[in-house]
Amino acid sequence: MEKMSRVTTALSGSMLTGRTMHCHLDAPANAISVCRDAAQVVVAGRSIFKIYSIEEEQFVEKLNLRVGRKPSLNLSCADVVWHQMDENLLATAATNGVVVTWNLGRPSRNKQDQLFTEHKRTVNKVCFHPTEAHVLLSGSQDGFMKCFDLRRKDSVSTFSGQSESVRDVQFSIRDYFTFASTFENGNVQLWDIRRPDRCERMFTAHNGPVFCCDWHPEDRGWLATGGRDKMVKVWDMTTHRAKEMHCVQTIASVARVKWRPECRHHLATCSMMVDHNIYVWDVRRPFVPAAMFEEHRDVTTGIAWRHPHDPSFLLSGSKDSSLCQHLFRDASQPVERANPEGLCYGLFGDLAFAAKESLVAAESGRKPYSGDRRHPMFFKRKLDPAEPFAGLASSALSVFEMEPAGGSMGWFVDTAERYALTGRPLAELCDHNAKVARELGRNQVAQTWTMLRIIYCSPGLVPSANLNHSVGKGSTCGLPLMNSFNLKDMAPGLGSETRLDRSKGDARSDTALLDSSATLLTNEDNEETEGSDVPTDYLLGDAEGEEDELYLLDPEHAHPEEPEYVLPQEAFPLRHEIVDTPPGPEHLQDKADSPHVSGSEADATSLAPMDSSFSLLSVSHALYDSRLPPDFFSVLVRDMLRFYAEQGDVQMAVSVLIVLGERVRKDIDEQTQEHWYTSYIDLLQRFRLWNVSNEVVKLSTSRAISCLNQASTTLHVNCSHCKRPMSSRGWVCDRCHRCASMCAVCHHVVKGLFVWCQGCSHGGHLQHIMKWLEGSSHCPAGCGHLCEYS
Amino acid sequence: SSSPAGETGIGLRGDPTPRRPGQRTEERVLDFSDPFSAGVKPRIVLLALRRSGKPSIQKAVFHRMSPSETLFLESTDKICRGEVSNGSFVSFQIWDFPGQIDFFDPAFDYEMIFRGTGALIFVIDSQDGYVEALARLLLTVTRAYKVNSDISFEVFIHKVDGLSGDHKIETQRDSHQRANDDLADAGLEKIHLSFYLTSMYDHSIFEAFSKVVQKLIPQLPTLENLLNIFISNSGIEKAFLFDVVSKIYIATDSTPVDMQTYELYVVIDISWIYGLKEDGAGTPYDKESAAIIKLNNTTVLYLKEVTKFLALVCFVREEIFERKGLIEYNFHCFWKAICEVFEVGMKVVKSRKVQNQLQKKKGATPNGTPRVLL
Repeated sequence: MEKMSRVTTALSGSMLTGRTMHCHLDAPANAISVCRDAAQVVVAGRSIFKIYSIEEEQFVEKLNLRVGRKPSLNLSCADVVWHQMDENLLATAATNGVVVTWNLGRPSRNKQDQLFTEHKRTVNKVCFHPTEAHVLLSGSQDGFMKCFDLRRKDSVSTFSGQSESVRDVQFSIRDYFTFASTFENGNVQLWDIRRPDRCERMFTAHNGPVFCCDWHPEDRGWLATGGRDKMVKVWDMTTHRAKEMHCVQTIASVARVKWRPECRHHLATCSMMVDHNIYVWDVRRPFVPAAMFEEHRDVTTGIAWRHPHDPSFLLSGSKDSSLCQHLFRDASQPVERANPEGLCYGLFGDLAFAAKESLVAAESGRKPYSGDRRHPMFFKRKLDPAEPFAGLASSALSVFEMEPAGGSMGWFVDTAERYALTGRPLAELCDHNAKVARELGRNQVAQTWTMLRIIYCSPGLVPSANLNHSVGKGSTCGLPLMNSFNLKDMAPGLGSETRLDRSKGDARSDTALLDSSATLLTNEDNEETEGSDVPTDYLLGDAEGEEDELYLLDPEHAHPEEPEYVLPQEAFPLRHEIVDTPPGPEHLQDKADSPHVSGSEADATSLAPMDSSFSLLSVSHALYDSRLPPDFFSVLVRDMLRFYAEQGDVQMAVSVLIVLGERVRKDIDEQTQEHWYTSYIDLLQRFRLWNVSNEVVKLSTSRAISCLNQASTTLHVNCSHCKRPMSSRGWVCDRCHRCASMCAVCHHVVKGLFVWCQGCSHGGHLQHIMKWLEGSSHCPAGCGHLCEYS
Repeated sequence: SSSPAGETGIGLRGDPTPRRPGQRTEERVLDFSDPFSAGVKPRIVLLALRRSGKPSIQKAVFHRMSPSETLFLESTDKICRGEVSNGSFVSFQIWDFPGQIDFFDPAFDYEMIFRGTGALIFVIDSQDGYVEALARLLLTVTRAYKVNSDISFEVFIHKVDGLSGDHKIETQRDSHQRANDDLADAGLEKIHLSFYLTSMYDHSIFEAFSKVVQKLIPQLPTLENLLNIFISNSGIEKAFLFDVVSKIYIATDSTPVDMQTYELYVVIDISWIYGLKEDGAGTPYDKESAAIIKLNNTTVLYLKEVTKFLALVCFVREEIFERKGLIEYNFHCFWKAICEVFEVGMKVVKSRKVQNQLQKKKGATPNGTPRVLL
């Protein structure tokens, strides 16, 4: 012992030297292990078992342990380990289940010492006790771990992994009696060497087999595990329940993991398939490897740090039949290739950019970004003083914040929410949207909407006074009117539904069905359907007021023509409104100049006499002749849309596209449309305007967009009491056996909108609570709290 | 409730469930059942709460039904016994118990069922709250353990395709913990439960089944060693010994199973290899059956028939595959070794049979053990 410790201290005093080098082996290596003196390495494989000495410039073969005429299967090694206390002692694990120990001090050529044939299947791993000279541990495919005392002929104790194959066993460096074992079913077990009957602790670490583990050389209880699920996880075993400290996601299943000496957070990994490189990770930076060694041409099978106190030499063996020494300073550092500059626009107009610290520091007077002042954060990143990346590739982040008032994206949200895209005739949609734009101070956009209205709608309109009148009367006046119109053609169910449900939202959705089809036809018979549209106007409360101003912009000739179009309200066949499928473009064109089509349609209705509809259509026909046809403007409109999209106002482009529908769609190629739609939807979702984005998806005509809504939606619900995920079955939590989110008013489970008081945390259905609080100011649950609902 | 069908092994051929046209089960069972295997057939019992996907598992694994088709399977209402790969080497039965039957109805002879069972697979539907299932599991396991303490208990946490990555492990950990706690409370720490996360939509169900079946094969270490020797001497990357009928592997060498290679095999589906011979010879899958598939990552997938029911699938690097002669020779040695293993097993069965017969009819003269040829 004395001699040994002296050697160790002597070594740690002297510096290791060497260079990146490799040598060719005769056969693929399965495992390597380094001698305690850091000057020799043993390489073992299915048909190789040699010791190399590590010289300054090269590897020199020192000893071939595969002796004898006919190599026995005992020499087909799956693993090899060199004792860290005794430089003459080695152990190998054979694929046939034999554990062999080797004594290099033997005078004969055959250095084989002991042979243990207790395992039935391949032994995957052998491990010497770090401080005990005679204790050897083996883990086998047959699910058993055996502890051998080398002074005895057979095993001292057997640990059963319960028929799961053992992939790795490792003695703890800090705890004398503890060892960890990893299993093919994803479990990790901790054992006390004195208690073979049952494991101290077991936990599921990975999904799929755990191939390797390694105890941290310094931090007690830190265990790194790597598995087929391509993850390296670092566990803290000192706590009651093994806690996952870090997780590194690699690109291939992890075959070996080894902590880097003297670097607390570094570990080296190599993969089992596909990936031939060796990575050194800093577990705190799990996305970019700190270093990468790319020497091998085939899968790396064994890695070992050359000296337990020297972090710069790594040895590796590979299936490409080569043995390598890697120098840390020669490693390629992916971080260097990473782009340290970044630029991003924030949602609300902020601009953030990151650049190399050196560049930023040169510029005076800029402080590093310290979080958003406007939106306080509730977490704080703890800064590690020993941050190792500081010099490497760290970027400084600067953020330019928008002034709350000017230039923020508030207009976008407002516009998105207030724009009407469907459900009313084109003219009204345009007017409404123009008004919205004007209110938000976007005059150009407002002007565009107005112009669109002029282009696509005939100038005549019911004066705003008229409109306001009907709005003032409210639903009582509007609904009967509509019913009188539609009773004949409407499905009876629909009619009664409309009558029953007077709340604004619902009525709108019902009538939208009618009107969306109506808008498609409005370009030539807008005047005629005018009458029928009046009743739906009450739906949008904000349509009143400034309408007069809008119409001032209309050409004057609109008014003189007006009386003619008020006339045919009842006479016009309402059939068009029921048409569900949007008519194709050729249909529209037909209609514009052939009265026969409309005539035949009118024929079908009992309401309108044939000749009256004829006369009506001839009027509109004449009108078109006197004006320029909308097609004339289509090029202009297209350019206008392009302009807005180019300007970054994709909102305008998409809104116009939806509002105008068929009229412009054919002029713009499908791809551009799709691009606009996706951009707009993306923006809406970033602003969390889910409803609007959903409406846009629904209204889009592009197949690629509308199928966005066809993907299945999964809703995950957690119990409000115990915070655990709820099972899909019912609304009762499995664990606490209580119904989640009960309504305090009706005592039923709330499945839709849930509102609750922040004071007493009682709540329920939105409608119920609203109704309740109209009549009472106390909490419906009876807790005595004075709830408020605003 | 009904009692299960006769246990003779010859009594029931195939499963009584409606069969799709073109399914192979019938002829296979008729062809390959042999009277000797009945005595040692390891039996697997598949058990779960209702609507957990038992028949789907069985159909997908053993009858090559695609996962999407299994959506339309009706729930089981009677006990189905399926015989799988009734070869003379490996053979097992799957007892598929309907979830609706009260397993512990006094009229129900569970003793008889558990006595001959090698493995009990309990399927837990991970998407359907496993607490109830765990209670049931505990009940079943304790009853079964009392009857037959050699049973290996396997728990499939099924339908995990619906869970997110972390949630999967959490589910496994949680159910493992709960089940073990329950067992400890009941004073049955000795019972060991193995947990598997399975899904119909990837290889996991096949892999889990492979593990279960491997536990029931006493010759597994021998086979594994043979494969190890075979691959190390031929320079093969990875070798599987597959059951031809199902896609489960009976044995593989000791290097870790890689998901991609296994999945590849599962995807390819051995069945098309039958097609090569089907028009000519009567038995489509015979000694000469072999397939070489070159993969685009300089690997060759090499398939070779071992016995009627077993196929060897190797992954070989292209440059090594140039020495095909060597591989062929090694394969021949491997094949001979397998046959020897096979023969020993047969002999044991045979002698046991003969002894049984001797005991039955005492007058019969033992005329030496008849040799059973492959």
